[in-house]
Amino acid sequence: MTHEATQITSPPKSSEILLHLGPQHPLQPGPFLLDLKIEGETIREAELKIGYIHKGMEKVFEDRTYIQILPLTDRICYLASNSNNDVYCRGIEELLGIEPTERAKYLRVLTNELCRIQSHLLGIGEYTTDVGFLTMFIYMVREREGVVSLLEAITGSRLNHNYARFGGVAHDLPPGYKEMALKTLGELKKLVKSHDEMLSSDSIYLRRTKGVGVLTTKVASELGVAGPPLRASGVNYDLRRIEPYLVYDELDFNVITQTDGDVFSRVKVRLLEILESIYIIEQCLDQMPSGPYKQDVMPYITRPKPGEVYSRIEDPRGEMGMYIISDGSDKPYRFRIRGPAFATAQALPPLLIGTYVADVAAIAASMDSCTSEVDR
Amino acid sequence: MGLFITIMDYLVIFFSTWEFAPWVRGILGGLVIGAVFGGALVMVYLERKFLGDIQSRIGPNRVGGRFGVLQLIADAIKLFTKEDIIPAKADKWLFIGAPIVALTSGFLMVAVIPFDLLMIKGSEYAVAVSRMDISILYLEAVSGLSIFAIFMAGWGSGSKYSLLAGFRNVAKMIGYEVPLGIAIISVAVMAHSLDIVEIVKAQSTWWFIIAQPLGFVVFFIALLADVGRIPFDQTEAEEELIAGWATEYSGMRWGLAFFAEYLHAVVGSFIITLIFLGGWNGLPLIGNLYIPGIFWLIAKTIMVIMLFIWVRGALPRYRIDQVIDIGWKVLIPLALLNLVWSTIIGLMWA
Amino acid sequence: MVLFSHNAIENDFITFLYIEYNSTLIGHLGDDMEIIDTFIPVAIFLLFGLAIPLVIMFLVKQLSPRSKSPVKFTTYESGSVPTGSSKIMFNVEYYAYAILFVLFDVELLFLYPWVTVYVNDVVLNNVENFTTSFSVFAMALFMVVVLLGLLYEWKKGVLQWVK
Repeated sequence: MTHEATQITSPPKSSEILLHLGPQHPLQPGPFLLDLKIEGETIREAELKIGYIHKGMEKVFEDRTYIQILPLTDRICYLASNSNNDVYCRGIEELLGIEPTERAKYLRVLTNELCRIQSHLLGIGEYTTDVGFLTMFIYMVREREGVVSLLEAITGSRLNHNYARFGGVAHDLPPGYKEMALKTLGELKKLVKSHDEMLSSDSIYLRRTKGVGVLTTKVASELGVAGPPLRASGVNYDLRRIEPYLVYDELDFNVITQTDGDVFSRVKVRLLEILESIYIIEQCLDQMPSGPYKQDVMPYITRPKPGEVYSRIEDPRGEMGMYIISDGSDKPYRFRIRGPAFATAQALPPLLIGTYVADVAAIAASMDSCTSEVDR
Repeated sequence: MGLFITIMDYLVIFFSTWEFAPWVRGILGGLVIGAVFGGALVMVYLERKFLGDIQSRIGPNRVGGRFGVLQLIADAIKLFTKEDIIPAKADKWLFIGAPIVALTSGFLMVAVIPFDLLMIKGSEYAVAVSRMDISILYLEAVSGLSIFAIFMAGWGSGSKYSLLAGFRNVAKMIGYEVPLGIAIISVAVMAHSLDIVEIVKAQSTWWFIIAQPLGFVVFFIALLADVGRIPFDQTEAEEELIAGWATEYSGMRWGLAFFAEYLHAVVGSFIITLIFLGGWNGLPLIGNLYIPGIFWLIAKTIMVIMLFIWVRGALPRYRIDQVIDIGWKVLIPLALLNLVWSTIIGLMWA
Repeated sequence: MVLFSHNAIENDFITFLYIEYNSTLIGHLGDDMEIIDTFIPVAIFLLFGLAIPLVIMFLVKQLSPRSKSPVKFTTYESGSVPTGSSKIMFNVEYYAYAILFVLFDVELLFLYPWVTVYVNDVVLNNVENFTTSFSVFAMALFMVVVLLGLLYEWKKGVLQWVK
């Protein structure tokens, strides 16, 4: 398997078919086209074509004022909207030369981790439907409801949260939040543990996942794969540990890694990361200082000094970065997003070659790449 | 011409001797069709409701009161008024023929399912549309037709997904027809007959599931594969193949194929009840408890259907190469082992 | 337990059509009559099975709308325009199984008549120890041969999905 082999080079032979999966296919969270050249049930060549929901976000951002961009960052990937808000705000804060308040930092970590939990839950759920396990999907969505409600209680919305602000956050915690959160997360922890046990012991599930779609450490790091797929391939890389932003250096957590790099490990990493995130949230709720949750005075129009910044974050899918150049006006001069899902998506075709048609859905879903973010 | 005369002779005798009572058969046939139609509908409803419970959903709850009992009627109206499309690339006759073959194979299976054994004036009357002395062989043969139906649909649709599904179906059949047959033979060995009525009669004290639990497991798994339910629904694995062989079917034509599939599942449940769970016999040692046998049969069949749905709610799907592997490397050895076991046990009992 | 109610077990599988039925329903009729009695209901069901879809599709034709748009009659391929035909020389990756399947299906066909014969052999010939029964022995020998074949192929690695 080489990672150059990601294009269909020759027309199909008489015993081969060119099978289009996409842009409207049940395996996909969003529209993309996966062309497969198959012989029997085996995939000979694979090619990924993206761009069906290209929104031109980076260019759009250059035509908006800084505060107008903020809600749009939600739409980069609706499952990681909190992380996107946060990485954008930290970039602008660096340009402005301000720091978020101490309480706001904890609140952002709290919402980021909640965001990670709900994204992972949905990711695992989508994955399990792709091996024909609809029940687990519905369980995951049920569990996710509690987490989304926790996010809703803080941010006021369930999907596009638009929570972080320059130098702070939009709202403080509602009264009685800690008890509510600890209760929901305590139940979630038990449920996730039981689901983990179930997914590690079901023989059909194991046969469908062990040793399938192995992403080697070398290919993963060469292609810039990040997040759970990379950690499942045995690379201990997590921005929260390597470059601790916000208050991650004050919190205790483990970076989850697995060694096999197969579908099973990727899902396992996500399951265990949910437990770690719950642990982080519990610490946040304990250690959170009182004080203001936003800056006392902020200028009405944000005009950073000329300069450039690259801020990055470990979002649910890996390393999300935003590169912003300011020319001193109220709009960014240049805006560039480095999304984790794009890198993950380009690792997909080489993984598919030589596998069965039946495994396409499983492998694609285990990468958990977000089409919305890939196309931006 | 000769056949025609024979039929005429038959009809004359039929109507001249009252004890033949053709109308009894006619009513019985109608009832059986109605019952199995009803059974398939009940299964569809149960599947939605019970699967909903397993998956912590509500299931149908709008049409026809809180429990959505009229949902299926609403669905039928929808299917009847939907446009019927035959794709331009499809092989028209295969495409049209597939649901018909599937449904016909279901009907032919229904014809020999006995529902009870009545004792009238000292003689036995099996409540069946037709009583054959090779009914179990006939059932297996006729159920094999549905495999052709799916392959016809797969090849005839002109869609690549359907094509893959059609070939997967053949692979599945290759993997599971043999263990299914051996499990049936293991039962017939103990009953010394290929007649289902005789097989059920042989279970009047002990059910065959007690005598050969391994055979039951093999038969149940093979039957799951035969009727194409999770974990063996590779032919319509929607995540890879959209709807598999049914991708190009729409409206009522799809409805017919779908209905045929449930008909097969219901008949399969009847067969498993008849040959392993004692059929219309009551509980082992306890007996019928003054409840008519037909109710025992139907109650047990519904339990088997619930088991089908439970399995669907609890398991993921196998990959097709694993399916055929398990069929040959696990089920066939187990089935043969069970055959040896049941031969010995059967002879000891004899 | 009722051991055996048929009285014509000596007949082999091919002549199953002539086995005398002991159902009193048709007991006093001849063989031809019995075949008809068994299979006429089946034939009626066959007609039903063929007719019901046709009737239903006729009803649908009356009730449902029709469209002439050629786009509706294209093949669905996840929203892409299908390229190439689906009628190809499909690579059947399980042909090794398929060959074995034919063998085993034939074996099954041998087993069916044997089922009704063997116990009769044991009982009628008053075999004390059933292992000495000819039919059991013959079938065991046959099965062992077939099984050895299966094991040989398995060992040789033929039993696998050929990629």
